[in-house]
Amino acid sequence: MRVMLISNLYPPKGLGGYEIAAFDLASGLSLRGHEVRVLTSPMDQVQPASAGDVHRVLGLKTHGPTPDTTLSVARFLHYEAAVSQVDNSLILRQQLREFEPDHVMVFNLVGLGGIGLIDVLRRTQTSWSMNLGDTVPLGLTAGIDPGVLDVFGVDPLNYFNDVPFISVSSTLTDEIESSGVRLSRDLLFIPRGIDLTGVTHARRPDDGITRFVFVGSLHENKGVGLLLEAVAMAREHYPRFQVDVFGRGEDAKYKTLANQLGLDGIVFFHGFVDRQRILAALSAADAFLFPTSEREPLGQAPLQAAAMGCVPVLTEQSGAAEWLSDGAHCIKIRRTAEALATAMISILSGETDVAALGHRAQRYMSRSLSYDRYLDAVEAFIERLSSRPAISSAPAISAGADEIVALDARAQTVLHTVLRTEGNP
Amino acid sequence: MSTTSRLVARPKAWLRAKIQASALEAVAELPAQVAGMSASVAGMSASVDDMSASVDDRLGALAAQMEEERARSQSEFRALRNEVLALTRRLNHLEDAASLDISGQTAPSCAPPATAR
Repeated sequence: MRVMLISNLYPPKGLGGYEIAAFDLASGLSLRGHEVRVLTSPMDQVQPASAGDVHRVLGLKTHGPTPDTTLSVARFLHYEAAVSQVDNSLILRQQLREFEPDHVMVFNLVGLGGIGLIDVLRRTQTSWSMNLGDTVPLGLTAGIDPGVLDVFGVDPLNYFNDVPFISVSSTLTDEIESSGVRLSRDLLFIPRGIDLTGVTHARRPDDGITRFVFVGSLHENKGVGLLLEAVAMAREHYPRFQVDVFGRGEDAKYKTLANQLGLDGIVFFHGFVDRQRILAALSAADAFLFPTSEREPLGQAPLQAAAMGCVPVLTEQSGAAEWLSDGAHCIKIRRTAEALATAMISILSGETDVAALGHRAQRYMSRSLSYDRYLDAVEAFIERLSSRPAISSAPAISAGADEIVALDARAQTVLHTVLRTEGNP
Repeated sequence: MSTTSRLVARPKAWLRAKIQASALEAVAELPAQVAGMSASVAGMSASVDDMSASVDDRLGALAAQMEEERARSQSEFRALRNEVLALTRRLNHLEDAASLDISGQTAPSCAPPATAR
């Protein structure tokens, strides 16, 4: 099959699990003989050999925090990020004509003018689906004037109710639906498998030191502050352990906090490193500490740890906690420093048989939640969708370039009228 | 004017003057009375305000407590739901594996069971 993937970011650009998931899927489908084309945004780094046929042709606008500017400019940038960038829409139209995909799977479209891209997919009668790793339907419609959305025929509550989805968790779909947005019932729940092709499992060092690992962006939503507080509490009881922290973000803030808590020599910050080094660290570690936000859609990192036999200690409400059983494959905690410290102490004291849990977690991940099974499921999903009529709320509408340009112009006219009427600075 | 008339007119004038003096005196006291009443009303108003603030505080505390309880139960519910989902999915896999063992057939290319909504 010819499969097109669209993602706002694509490795090595970006840090999160979402873009890594796009990369892993492109790799897996390519290895299975599918012709894969990826549309994504440009990057300023040397481009490595990437899985699939990667076209870095889509403009990415204001991905991340909005710049410090006037309200009118901010709202226009938001429009370009969420609703429409006409160049991206035209590029997609051209790519669809050239590549003629059997199916298009979209990942995160925020920053690309996602509504415009979806409109092109609908107009061209393309078979397509969404791979949900975050609240993308909300990101594309929240805070946009209804008149602007109306130009594209978007009723935010119902625009996505005919779109087939792959979702990483119920935690994620519940969050989307709790805002009133109705999602399609054609929904496959599946965690992303961990590609361990060519990975060897290192032996755990027999030096009597318990090793904990954290991997993720260094921000409060990932619970880095809680983690450091928990380490300080656990240290009062058991001094012989170390914590390796991989990732970057608010590095200086957390290094200072670790220093203030007297954790030098216990917590080691390694920054952003390649995946092989992380896998090696997980393989040599006993447990993976992940006091992430309760609304974490999945958390690829703890599943990766489980696949390496490193026991995840994770927030009991997070998405990954839907896939692993407490006391069987992982330790689930309330999101507090005290709860994390208690879990650490139970490991350090030997009360929790971390070796048995790790072995079970690894076996579960390699058998039931394996990368191959994930690819099997996605392949079957795509094959089923590509053989049925495409999603289109308006089957007879034109997909001409003129029409696409005119649509964006009409939406911008509405937006500018709204901005003038409201007297925004 | 007759003598009788003069005799009657004198007390009337006296009475009028007396009444006028008395009325003036009463009017002169009015501001003080109004001020007293106003102070009294202000006191009552302050008292009502205090009661109202106290009720508002209590209602606010109750609302916050209810919100806390709601968030806690929602959070606990989600934790429990996650564990039930994890167990169900694990069971699905076990059933999947068991059925394959029983049939003795080669395992088909089977996807992880999707959870029905």
